Amino acid sequence: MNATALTWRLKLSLVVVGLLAGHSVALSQQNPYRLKETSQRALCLSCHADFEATLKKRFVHAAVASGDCSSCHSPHVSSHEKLLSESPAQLCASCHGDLVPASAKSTHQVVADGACAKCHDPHASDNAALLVAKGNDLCISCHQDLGDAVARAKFRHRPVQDGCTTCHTPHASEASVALLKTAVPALCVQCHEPDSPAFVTRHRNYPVAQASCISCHDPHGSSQPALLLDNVHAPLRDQTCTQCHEPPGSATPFATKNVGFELCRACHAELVTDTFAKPRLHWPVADRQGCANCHSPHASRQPKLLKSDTASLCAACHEDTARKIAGVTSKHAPVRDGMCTACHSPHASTGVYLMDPPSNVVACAACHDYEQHSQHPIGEKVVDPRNPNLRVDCLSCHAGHGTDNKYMLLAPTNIELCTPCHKQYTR
Amino acid sequence: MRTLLSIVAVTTALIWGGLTLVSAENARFRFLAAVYGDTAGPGLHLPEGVACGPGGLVIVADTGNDRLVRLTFDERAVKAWTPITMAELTAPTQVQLDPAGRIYALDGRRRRVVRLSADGQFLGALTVTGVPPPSTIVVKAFQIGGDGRVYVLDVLSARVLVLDGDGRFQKALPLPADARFVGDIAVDDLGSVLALDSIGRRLYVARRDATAFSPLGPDISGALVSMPTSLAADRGLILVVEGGAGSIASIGQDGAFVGRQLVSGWREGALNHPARVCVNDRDEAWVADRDNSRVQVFTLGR
Repeated sequence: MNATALTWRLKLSLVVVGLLAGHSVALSQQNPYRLKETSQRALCLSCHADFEATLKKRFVHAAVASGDCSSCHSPHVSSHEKLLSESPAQLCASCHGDLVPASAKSTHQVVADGACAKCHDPHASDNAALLVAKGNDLCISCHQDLGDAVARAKFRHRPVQDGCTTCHTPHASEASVALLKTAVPALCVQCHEPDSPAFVTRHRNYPVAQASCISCHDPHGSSQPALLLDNVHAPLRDQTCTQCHEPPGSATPFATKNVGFELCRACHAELVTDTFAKPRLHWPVADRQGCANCHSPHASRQPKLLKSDTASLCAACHEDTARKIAGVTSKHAPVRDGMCTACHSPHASTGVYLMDPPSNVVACAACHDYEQHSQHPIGEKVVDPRNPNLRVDCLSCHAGHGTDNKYMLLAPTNIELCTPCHKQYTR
Repeated sequence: MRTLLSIVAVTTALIWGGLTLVSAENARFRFLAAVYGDTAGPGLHLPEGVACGPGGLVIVADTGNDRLVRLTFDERAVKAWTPITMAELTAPTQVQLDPAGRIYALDGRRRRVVRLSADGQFLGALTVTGVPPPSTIVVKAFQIGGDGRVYVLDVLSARVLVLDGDGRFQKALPLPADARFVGDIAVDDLGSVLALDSIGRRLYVARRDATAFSPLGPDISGALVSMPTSLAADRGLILVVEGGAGSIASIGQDGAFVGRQLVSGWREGALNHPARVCVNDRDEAWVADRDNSRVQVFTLGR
């Protein structure tokens, strides 16, 4: 064999070997783990047969449609539920990470919590955007109170019927609080024409297009005409705005004619006088905002025109007390029910803690029949053995808001509770 | 000349070093005594104010008994106890002494400042004159500066009125716009006015010649465990009373939280909703221990 023929044969052999090797690599790349089914979708469905119905839904998550189950699920083991390869929040964010702008003024709580599956089905749905329910039903499934209120309302704002997303964005809003697509009043004037004669007349010539519409109107629905909030301040109801505000044609039409409680005194003179006659003021009553610290001056969903429910309102300033209350297991019933004003006077009082009766024994007796409760001596004539200036009263043994001990007692055992006074029983 | 400069430099360094040391250390309270009253009359009842004078003089605003009590304290004991009761003063919530020893008290029911002589004779209510409108003033708290000027926290108009000792208007300091509710003020030894935002849990300062408040130091809202109710300033130390926690927080001159002293309770040395603290020239801190119906005195270590 000459040298030329040898070279040619060697080259041919190398080509054949190369082709065989290439074919082998191609095969291994198609099924690198030697799966029984080369199609991942077919493989998974071989066990998860009931999933076929899901795949027939109108909208299918792209990752599911492509049969790429392992893009979300780990086939063998996982530290997360449903064999997810990461936590649900991280998993969704790995593809949909741009839903919350850095400058968002409001973010939907479920989005912040990474609970995407509360609204979206991760696999498929008959609703667009893989939503688990259609339209407002989805929102109301969580915002039940709002749904009920709208259902009860005599008049409903049309955009609410058209869908919550007419005004709200579901994930986050860069424009406004409350996930609004645009801040109020710009949002409202997209539909309502503030320059129309009817609008101007209805608002007594005040330039309300610069004001917050929701300080008077319920944007969802109301049983009041003009979608006013359920409880309306008399001057608003009577459209006598100039009782409190400068005239509409003035340079500062929304300015009030007086500051703080001085403005309210014009109508609520008796209440203001009584309040300021007491030695202990709830100080926000007297500051520049005055009554408007707690009350909405125009209208409110809450009784007494309160800005929010009592517990939330009080906790907005008394955050330390609210935190303490939240942490105890044995709560005073009014505290549990958020009824701070069951014991405390919201404006002023003769006693400390904004409590009016001369002692807490009297205050507690309004609800509790002490004689049926215990025979322990209490009252003004019973000197506290721990301190000659104190008297034994309900708070000698109980905490007014609550404790971690039964009956809101100050100590977990009778020994610890009683021996500070009854020292002879100290062990 | 060089020697003189060196002395000045060293002295300056010592002064500033000393002040920095004060601002950086937690004030240490050591219990000295609890004062309940004397045997002749009623004991203290829900006292909310206390003022410290020279030579162991202490004035207590005995709020629940509608009176002031003038006492002197020496060698761990009350040496003199003089109740001051008058129709012109009800439910006093705060008391102060001016440099001449006159007593100023805030009438809690009428919300006006009244003046008494050093021995407790009524001199009249402080009539505020020359103040820009609105004319209605709601006094939440007040302070007497080292120069005898009266600083009034007028919550209705969100301002601190600076008055001379006779109530004549000197200037007004608008409260900081971002403060949620300024509940108390203090005046330090340099004449700076400190304002305590009880809800926002922040301190603000207006230096002696300033026309506005600015935040003092970092945000300490996370460091304070309950709503701060009052404050006192003494020789580089700022004390903030945390009523609900029964404790007193120390704040440095730079506004930074330094530490917390005392605990809530009924035992002597513990506090139950303390209302106010003052410090005297003996470094004794007197605390109006309101819900324990007593005042307590502590030696103050710095």
